[in-house]
Amino acid sequence: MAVTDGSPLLSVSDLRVGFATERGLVRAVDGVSFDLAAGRTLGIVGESGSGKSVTAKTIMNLLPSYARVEGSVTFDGRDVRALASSGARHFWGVEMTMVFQDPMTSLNPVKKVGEQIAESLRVHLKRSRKEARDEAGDLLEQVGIPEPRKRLTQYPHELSGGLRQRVVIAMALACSPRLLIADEPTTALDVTVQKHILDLLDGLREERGMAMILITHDLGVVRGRADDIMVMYAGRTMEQADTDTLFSEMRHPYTEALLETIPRIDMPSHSRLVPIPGRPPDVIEVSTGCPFAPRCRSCTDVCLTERPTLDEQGHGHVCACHGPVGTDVGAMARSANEASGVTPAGLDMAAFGSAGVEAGDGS
Amino acid sequence: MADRLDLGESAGGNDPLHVPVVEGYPMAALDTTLGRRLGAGFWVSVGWLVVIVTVAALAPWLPIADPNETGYGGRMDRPGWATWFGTDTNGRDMFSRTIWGARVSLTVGFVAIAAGLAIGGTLGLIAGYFRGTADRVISFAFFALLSFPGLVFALLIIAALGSSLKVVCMTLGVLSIAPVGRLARAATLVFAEREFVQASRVLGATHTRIMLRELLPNVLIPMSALALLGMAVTIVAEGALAYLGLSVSDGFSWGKMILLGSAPRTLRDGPWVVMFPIGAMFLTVLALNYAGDRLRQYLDVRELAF
Repeated sequence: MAVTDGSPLLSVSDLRVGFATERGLVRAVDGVSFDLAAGRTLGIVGESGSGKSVTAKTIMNLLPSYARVEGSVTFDGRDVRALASSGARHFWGVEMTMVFQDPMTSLNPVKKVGEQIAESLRVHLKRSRKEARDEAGDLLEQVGIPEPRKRLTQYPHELSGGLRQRVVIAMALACSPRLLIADEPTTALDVTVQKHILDLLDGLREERGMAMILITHDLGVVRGRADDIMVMYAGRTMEQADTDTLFSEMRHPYTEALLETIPRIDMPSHSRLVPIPGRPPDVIEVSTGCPFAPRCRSCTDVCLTERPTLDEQGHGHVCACHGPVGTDVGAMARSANEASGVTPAGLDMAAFGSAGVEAGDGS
Repeated sequence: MADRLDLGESAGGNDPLHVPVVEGYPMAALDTTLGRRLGAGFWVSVGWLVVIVTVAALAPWLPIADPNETGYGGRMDRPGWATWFGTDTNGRDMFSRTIWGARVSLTVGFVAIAAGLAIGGTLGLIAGYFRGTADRVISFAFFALLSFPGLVFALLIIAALGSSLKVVCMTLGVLSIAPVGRLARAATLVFAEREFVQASRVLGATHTRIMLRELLPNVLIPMSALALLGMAVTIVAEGALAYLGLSVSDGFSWGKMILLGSAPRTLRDGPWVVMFPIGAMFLTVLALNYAGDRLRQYLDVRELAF
């Protein structure tokens, strides 16, 4: 992967997270590896249940005690999991921290905004009450909250969703962490506010030289914001590349399908968005083949039986697919499926709408 | 928009964000429609509680008769100017006795529920936050406490340890641990799921800090309403114990006064001897229940606002 100079800030290697349930072992994360250099942004993209949030929670030591974790997470040369078990203080919140999806629940409803921001300053940086309060005001100003001093004495329910998420970001940034994980930071917000929050995060990251992991289900969100993108599916890495390469030389049919689910400005208005047929797989069932095969329009017989390996495509671009998009193998597989009208996995090609056999409306 | 509404210059001019304040329809009226007010009944209840607590606390310094002075008036004097609440079979002033009786009843009610809150609340918080083994052990202990008939438990303890004020408070306190603890656990379970708990963990807060600074303030809200209701229950329970002759040997409470006045002849000749302690207890318990219930409703609505 594209690590250029020295050792990366965060290094995740062959991470596996399982949850024992009554129905069997849920493999939420299944062999994920990535490196993140200081000051860079990694976008992790995938549907619900793809393991992206579990990956983040593993890094942040937020998993419940019954989770089984294998593999290593190293932050600046220190083993994060060892730090967690030794109860290291002044690490989480100071070195790295996280912003959650829903600002409605990520603030304590009975504590004033100012207190909540000041708290970590007082605990970790040993600021006095007054210093912490002043800094909290400065932080609110930095995250673009109007009348920051006045907001300090307000309760979360007095603020709108967008303002609350700004407060959450201010809290996260209080101790100037070197890594910020943003787990779908805008999913719960109004569309009009989403862009402001994303731009704010990006601006603050650049200003502070912070590294960031931006988790989202929307490829459009990470385009132009992330330096590298990792596409996850069923707990595995499907494709990983720097952002420009990923969008220009997209290899995995899943990445392609994800991109078709979001509206694009360069398409004529009212063009049909193409949903991905089927559902994300049950990660309890250990399938032998590619986890995306049942929903893939380039599916071949080998996809159902053999798990594709994460192969190098050049320039740190990796992809786990037997018939990648833009290769002869992939094109042949797709045209064969279009000709027969059904994929080897038994999926009707008409489910893909216009991209399928003909311009049929999937109704 | 503004010109069509014809608000004129004084009422905000062309500012589209200006909300005209309609005369006679202040924000308070809006609040009532949202059910966000505690209501007059709540304040009347609180008023009564403040009066009774103040009077009971100040009893030794009030210009009232010695509650134990027999022959203060005649025997079984009717309520009147000399003795407002009448006198009992020994000629003791009932007005003074009702006030002094409040001291024991309220002390028992308060101390017992405070002990329940401290012990039950702590255990419930631990069970709800850590879950797992701690939760199983603590929840089982709560169930065991709840399965034991309360009155029998109280009888046993008091029979074994005697009926001093301390023992009565302790006994009723132990009985209030389980209900309070179960509420604390349930509330903690709800709040521990919220992201703000995870958020403070990623900001490096310790478990103790999360429990005390993040969860406790939230859990205290429903607990405060339960505390008022619990105090009412405890006062009644103390009355029941007293009626069985098992409460506070080193003083007297409303319950004990009711016992003393409940002989058939006394009831026939001087019903006021039981009426005033019963009335005082009734009003106090009613006020506690009403205030607790209003508070619960009020706080529930507040909860929805998040």
